[in-house]
Amino acid sequence: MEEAVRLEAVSRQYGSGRSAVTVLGPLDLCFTRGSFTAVMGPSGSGKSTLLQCAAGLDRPSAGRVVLDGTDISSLGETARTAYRRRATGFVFQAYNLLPSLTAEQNIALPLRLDGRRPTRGEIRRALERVGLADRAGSRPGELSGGQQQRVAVARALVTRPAVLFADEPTGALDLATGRELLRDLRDLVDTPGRHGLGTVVMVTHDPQVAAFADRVVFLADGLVAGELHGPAPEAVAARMAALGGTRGVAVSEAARC
Amino acid sequence: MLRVALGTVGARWVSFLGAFTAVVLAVAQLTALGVALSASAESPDRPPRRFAGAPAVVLPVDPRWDPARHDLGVRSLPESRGLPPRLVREVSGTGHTVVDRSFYAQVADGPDDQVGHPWPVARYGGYRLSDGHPPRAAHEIVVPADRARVGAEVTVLTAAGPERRTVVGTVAPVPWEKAVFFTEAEAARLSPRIDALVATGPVGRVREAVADDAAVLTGQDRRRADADAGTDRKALDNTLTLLPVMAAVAGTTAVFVVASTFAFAVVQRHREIALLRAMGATGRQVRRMVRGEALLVGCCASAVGGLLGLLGTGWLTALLVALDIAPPWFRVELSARPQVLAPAGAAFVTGVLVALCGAVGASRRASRVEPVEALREAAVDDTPGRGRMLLGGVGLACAVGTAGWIALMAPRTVLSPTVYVVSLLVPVVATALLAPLLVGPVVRALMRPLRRLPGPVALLVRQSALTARRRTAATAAPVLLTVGLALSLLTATDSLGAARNEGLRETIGAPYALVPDGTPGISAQVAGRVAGIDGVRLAAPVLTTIRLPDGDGRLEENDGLAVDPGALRRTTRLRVVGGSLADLDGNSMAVAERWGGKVGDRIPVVLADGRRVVLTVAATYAALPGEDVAYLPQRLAYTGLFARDGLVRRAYLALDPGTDRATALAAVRAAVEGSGARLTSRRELIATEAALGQRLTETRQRATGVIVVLFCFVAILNTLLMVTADRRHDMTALRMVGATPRQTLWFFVAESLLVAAVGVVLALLAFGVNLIGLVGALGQLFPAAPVSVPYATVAAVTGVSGLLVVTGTVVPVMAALRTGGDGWVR
Repeated sequence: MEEAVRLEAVSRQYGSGRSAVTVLGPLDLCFTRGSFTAVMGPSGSGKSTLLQCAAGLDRPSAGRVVLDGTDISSLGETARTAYRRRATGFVFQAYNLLPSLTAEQNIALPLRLDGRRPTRGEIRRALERVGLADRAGSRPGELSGGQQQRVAVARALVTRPAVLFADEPTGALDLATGRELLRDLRDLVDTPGRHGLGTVVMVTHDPQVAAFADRVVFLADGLVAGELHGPAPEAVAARMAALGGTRGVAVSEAARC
Repeated sequence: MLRVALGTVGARWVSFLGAFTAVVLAVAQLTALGVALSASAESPDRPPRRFAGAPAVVLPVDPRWDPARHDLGVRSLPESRGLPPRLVREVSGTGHTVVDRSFYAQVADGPDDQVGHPWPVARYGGYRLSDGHPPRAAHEIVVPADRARVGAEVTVLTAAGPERRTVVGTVAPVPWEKAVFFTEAEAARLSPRIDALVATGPVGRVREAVADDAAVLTGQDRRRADADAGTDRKALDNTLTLLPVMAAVAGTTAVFVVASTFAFAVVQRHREIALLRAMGATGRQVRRMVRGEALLVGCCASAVGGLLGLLGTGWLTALLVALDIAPPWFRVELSARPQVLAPAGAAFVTGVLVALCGAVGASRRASRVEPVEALREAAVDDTPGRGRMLLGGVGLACAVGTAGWIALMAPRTVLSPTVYVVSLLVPVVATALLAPLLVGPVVRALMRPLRRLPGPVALLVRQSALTARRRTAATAAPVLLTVGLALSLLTATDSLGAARNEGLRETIGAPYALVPDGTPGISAQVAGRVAGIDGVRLAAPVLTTIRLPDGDGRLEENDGLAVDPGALRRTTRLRVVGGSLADLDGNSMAVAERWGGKVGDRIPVVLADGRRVVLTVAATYAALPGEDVAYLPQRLAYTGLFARDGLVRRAYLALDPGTDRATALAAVRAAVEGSGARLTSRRELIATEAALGQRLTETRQRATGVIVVLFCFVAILNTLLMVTADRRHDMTALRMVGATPRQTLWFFVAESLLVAAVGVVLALLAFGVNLIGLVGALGQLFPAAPVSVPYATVAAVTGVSGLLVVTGTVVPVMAALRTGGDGWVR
């Protein structure tokens, strides 16, 4: 059970009939436990769709998604939601806190949604981990962009998920704040928690950000166009520049792990 | 989830304020109407007056008689017959008895609600002679001291005609009646009906003697024998029929506004709900949250609304009195008693239920929000789905079905304000349901002429309204409701009045008429005097009541007019369907076709004095709605004294060919001088008649209109404030691409005006459907069906709606612009 997420022949189409557009796949891909993967690709390459399908936020048009050992593509909407909120955490680029709730309440929300009563210690530890122990009672409007994103990370982690998904998590942040956030994510993978190794899948278009990952998967036109291990920013940037001309590789290539 | 709901309500109070206000207003209305309704169901609690000094009163009553279910002024059979002489004889065996009669007797130039009684009964009402002596001769009378002095010679108008009488005594005036007392014999001559009997013997024996033939009243019950007990009741019955109509219309409008407000609140929070879904909230949890919010808002708003409603009851009763719908003495005592608490409680529960029902559709839509939608940037509106199509289709079918049914199958619906007002709502609500589907074509059509304008505003406004269809529809809805209802309701009222006038004009063939002048009617004696003038033909029908078998073995009461057939033919143009008016004689009658009788049928008729006669149907005619009467032989005119007051309501006057008009009319004027009648022309008669007949329906519908339109106005302002306050994002975007504050403001105002125009167009659509029903129904009921649209009023309502739309836009935009830069950039 080394795979945290496995995608098998996954594809996603929008619309139907002749006007249907395939934005993703069909592709095979997997993310091992304890890995930090960056997904890169030009605009419209399907990276966000890939992330949403893998996280169970979106339902693929075809194929299977196995998340932490469970085939979520076979679950109904409610069961999938319930499973997803326990097994995954999700951090968005922006707008991801409920403006009406305090930092503390925002963090407690996934637990409450799951019908659990969060303990004060649990929330405090989550806040401490992202260095915001003193801002528990603040509303999102009273926090800076970086602080808001750290609250979002704390909220994504509070359920101790098997996989943390992040879609351009540093997109709205300045360089220094972005780096801090990425170090937080790195720590999550490197420091094994009580439930084993953490897994992070992150979408980005910035080679500097991608360099924090162990592995970079490149997408083009909804298909996997290659990957790098232990990437340096320069190598990532060169590969991205080259992607302009290359077509993606079809499903015939073996599942990559 | 309730905690989340609580937090959301607290933070997004602007969008909830809209729903809150809608519920507050709805509950306030329902509370006020409900409390007034329950108060009007109580009889005013007053002590007995006319028989306060009598130990027991024998009164002829029909225990199953409910005045609310009969026309105004109609007496039950026992009441109109009076106490039978046999019963009076039997009761007089138990002790001293005094006969009471009540009849029309008016000292000339005095008020027209004076009433005649025999003198012996006066003492039981507490009357004492303050001057003079009791009446002893037929021409002697006693009047209140403020009417005339002892020794005065006055003209007294009665059913027997004007007569000179002498005031021989006076009594102190009382507030509850304006009496004229006659000798017992004279009273019996003027009014053969015995209205009541005072019995001074032992009550037990009186009851025994009366048995089941009449009621024996003692104590507080004696109040029922007072004349104004009946009028109190009748005055309130008016109110009683109107209030439920108002409550129904107000309730429907409220559910509608609240539902659309909640639906809109969900649209506004689309992103937030998507975010919750992304956080792992299931559809059911989101549904629960939206319902929780509705419950919270519903409870708070209903409580506030209930309080406001109780405070507003005084205002409502004042309005009802001012509009002449309720009698002047109508008051509501606010105290903790069931009559106040029950309707207030019911309004509270209704408010909470309305909020919950309004949120059902909204919560369903909210639970279908996809989590992925939180990640998309633009809030592109979803195109209306299959469910909306279905709902709109069903609504449209209902609307057209209702209109068609009224036009073809049930034209008489338009005559009943209760049902018709509610049925007018159906197309309006259906159009509102269809609105999201209709917004596209309507906006495109409206903006077509403006396509070539150079500025960016036309384009922006058009695209903005088209993109956010649901928002546009939700904003247009209150305008649609206001204009649609006002237009439909007022046009129906005006057209009905116009059709009635037209019908009356068609029916009356005589160029002149005699009408009461400061009196309730004209006496047959005066009419006879006029009819005797050379060259004058006068039809002077005396209004009475007859009872015909209705086929189920029951008797159905109808108005009858006892009239000379020859004069009737000369002065009216009844639309005769069967038989001929020429066949009318002393033993036959002409009846409305609608009653179902055939020419030649011999019908056993019960007269107002209880006598039974068999009359042959000589003719049937197509009657105007509300004007269906039986034309009876003149020999039955005397029954008018039993049924009502024995007077002629209006008389039609024609001149024989070759008569000198000036001489004849001068003779007529001289004949009616001082007799409580006045010569008038046909045109003038129709004008006054129309005003009289329509008044009741019109005030009812107007009052409903006033209350509903006021509520709608608030709804418009409310919705606009709510919508605009939530569009800071658009404001920011506009300002960032370089729009000046003035341009930004203009853009929002222009869009709101476009949306209001959409509402007006949709209102016209709904009105069109209502018009089908109205025109069809009027065409069947009346010989001519002119459609009369009160353009001025409708234009005013539309204008005020537009003004409110602009106000609701300008205020929040200005506020946002003033806070400037960072305040609204998020």
